Amino acid sequence: MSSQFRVHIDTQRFERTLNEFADQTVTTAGEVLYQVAQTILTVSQSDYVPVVTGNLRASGFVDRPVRHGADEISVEMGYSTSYAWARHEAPMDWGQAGHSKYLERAIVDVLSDVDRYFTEGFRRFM
Amino acid sequence: MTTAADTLAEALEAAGIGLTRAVNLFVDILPDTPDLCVALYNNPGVGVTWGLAGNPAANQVRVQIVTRSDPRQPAARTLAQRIHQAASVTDYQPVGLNLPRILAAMSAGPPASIGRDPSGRASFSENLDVTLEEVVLS
Repeated sequence: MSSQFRVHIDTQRFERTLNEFADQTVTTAGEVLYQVAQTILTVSQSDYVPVVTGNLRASGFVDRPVRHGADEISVEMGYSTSYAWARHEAPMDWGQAGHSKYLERAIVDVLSDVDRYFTEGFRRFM
Repeated sequence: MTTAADTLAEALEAAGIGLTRAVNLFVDILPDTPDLCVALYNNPGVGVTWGLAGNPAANQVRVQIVTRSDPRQPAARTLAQRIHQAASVTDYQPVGLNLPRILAAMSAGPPASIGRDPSGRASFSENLDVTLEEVVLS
């Protein structure tokens, strides 16, 4: 004597849930990245950017996250004055006021702690 | 202390583009003469990453390359472009003693004008992400 059992598992709902989770993860990563970028800009503006007229410091910006396909998201940030790049790259030998590399220095400062930002950020958003 | 910029300076000297250390190629300083010269500056980067699956531990830093020339000449742009082509190296084992080995040096973008220095000389800047072999003492 023998018996045959058939089990039918509907995986569509499971797949849908997984896809929604993946999508939410990328969106959350974008929000965390946005906060990290804002922190970088704050550090740059408070500790590094040279201030003569204040125009350079005031031109700092962080754009909202932009999605690139299913699994990539980016945030653009920087300073928008026409002389921002030249001032950023001017060697210290030129003797200008304030720091050169005023954004790069802030990025290095914040990136040293980036694991914590993402761990806390994901806890908060998900 | 030897640095990423020291190793990169050695690589650029060997590239045959007319650069000689302490003549027209400097590290962490841009002297007032000669007009046409290059300075490599060490800057911090991501830092140390530990090797997995047999890969060596690495230390990622940034090196800025500033090229300068007399304002009457387009020489700075030409030289900056030559350096751009020569500076992205892979697995550069230095000849000099105690220089760190470069696993990879990748340009973050082509050289771009940063205007003129206080003496009116045209200058260009480029940045490289340099991954150094991190020597782990056991």
